[in-house]
Amino acid sequence: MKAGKNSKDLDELISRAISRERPKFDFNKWEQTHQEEIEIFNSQTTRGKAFRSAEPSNIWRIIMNSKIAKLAAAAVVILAVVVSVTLIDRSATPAYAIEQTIEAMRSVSSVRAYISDGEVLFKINPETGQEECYRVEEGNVLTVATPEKTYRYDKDKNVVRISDEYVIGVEVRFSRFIEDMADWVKEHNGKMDHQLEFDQELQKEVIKVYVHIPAQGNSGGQESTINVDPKTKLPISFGTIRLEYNVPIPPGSFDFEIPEGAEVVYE
Amino acid sequence: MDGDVDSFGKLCQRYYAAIVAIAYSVLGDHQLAEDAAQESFARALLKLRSLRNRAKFATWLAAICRNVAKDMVATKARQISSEDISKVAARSGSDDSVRAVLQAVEQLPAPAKELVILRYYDGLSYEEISCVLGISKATINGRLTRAKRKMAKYLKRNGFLENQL
Repeated sequence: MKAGKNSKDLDELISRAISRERPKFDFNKWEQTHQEEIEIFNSQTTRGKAFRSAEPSNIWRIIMNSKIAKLAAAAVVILAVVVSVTLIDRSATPAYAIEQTIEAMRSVSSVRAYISDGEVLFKINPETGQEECYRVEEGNVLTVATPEKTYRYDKDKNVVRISDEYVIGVEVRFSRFIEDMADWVKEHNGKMDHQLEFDQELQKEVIKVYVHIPAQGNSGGQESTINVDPKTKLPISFGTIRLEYNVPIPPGSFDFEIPEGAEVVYE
Repeated sequence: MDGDVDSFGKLCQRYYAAIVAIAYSVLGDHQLAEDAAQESFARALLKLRSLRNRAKFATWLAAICRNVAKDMVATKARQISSEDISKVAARSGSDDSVRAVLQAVEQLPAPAKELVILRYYDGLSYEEISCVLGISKATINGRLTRAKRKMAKYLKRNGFLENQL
């Protein structure tokens, strides 16, 4: 029997086995049974518009509220510093221009951060420049955020906590980080200076950025040092956190299967 | 789509068959698949504001639906197992060839199984499948061909004679 006929016969068999009449969606009925969701959606829309007009750029507060605030805050400082360095003192390293960093950040498709007790992997949406998914492995806790859900698995307790939403890692867009953060830097009157130095640990020359954020109101000040790669113009480390960009994302990095026997808690 | 429930409803109507098919590929039960699709719409509506790229609404909705369906399996709400499609066939007295084909569908990897069901369950066009899976029609064709090849091998390996194909 010829392959073409075999294929056609198989098509018919599959159709016979699983086909059925197309289901029709009765939206009016659905509306009646999902009034609560519709009301929430309508209220979200109203709140969203109000928020945008009243608080256009309080990025820092949003980031600090996130569940991986430590890393996010680090990333914010790193990139805020790059902005400030280039905006405030271009003369110290004339080869380093803001446009280069902005351009470099445009092509970031993934970010991997090595933290003290694990690592974080962000996938960046190339169209929006925003994070799309992330995976954090820190000690015995695994966090996987997808557009639909965020899973936090405590391996010691064998408990999976599931949020029915994407818990944002960093509110600003990665590939537009520089532009998005510029306002924040100006608002906080941060001071910094930088110079090209040989880093003993990295064993190469880097742009060392020394940051001083003064205490404001109830928040204390911050002193930090960031290393920017003079070649790629991207921040490569911040304290003990090491950063890599455009790393290959292993298949299944953002898949999460509930381990057998794990307690599941919906949040 | 901003703030417009009616527009959202129109999109749901457009993708309903595909979303039900995706749920069916996980659940293997027609009624549960429709329940999962409708629950997916509810979840999608609540999170619509977080959708950053609205051109990808259909693929986003499909991903939500996969999660909803998997949750239904995971929480064992109705004690559904992954073998249900073939079990349903057995219970409903389907003939041997139908049962064999359903078993062949079951042994496919999840993405291939989903694709076969999208294509044959409601007879969706490549265009419609392309929208919900976010892949090109050429890719769909290639994957579908490979999936059917695997099914054919499985059927032959399990004594479903070539002259029956």
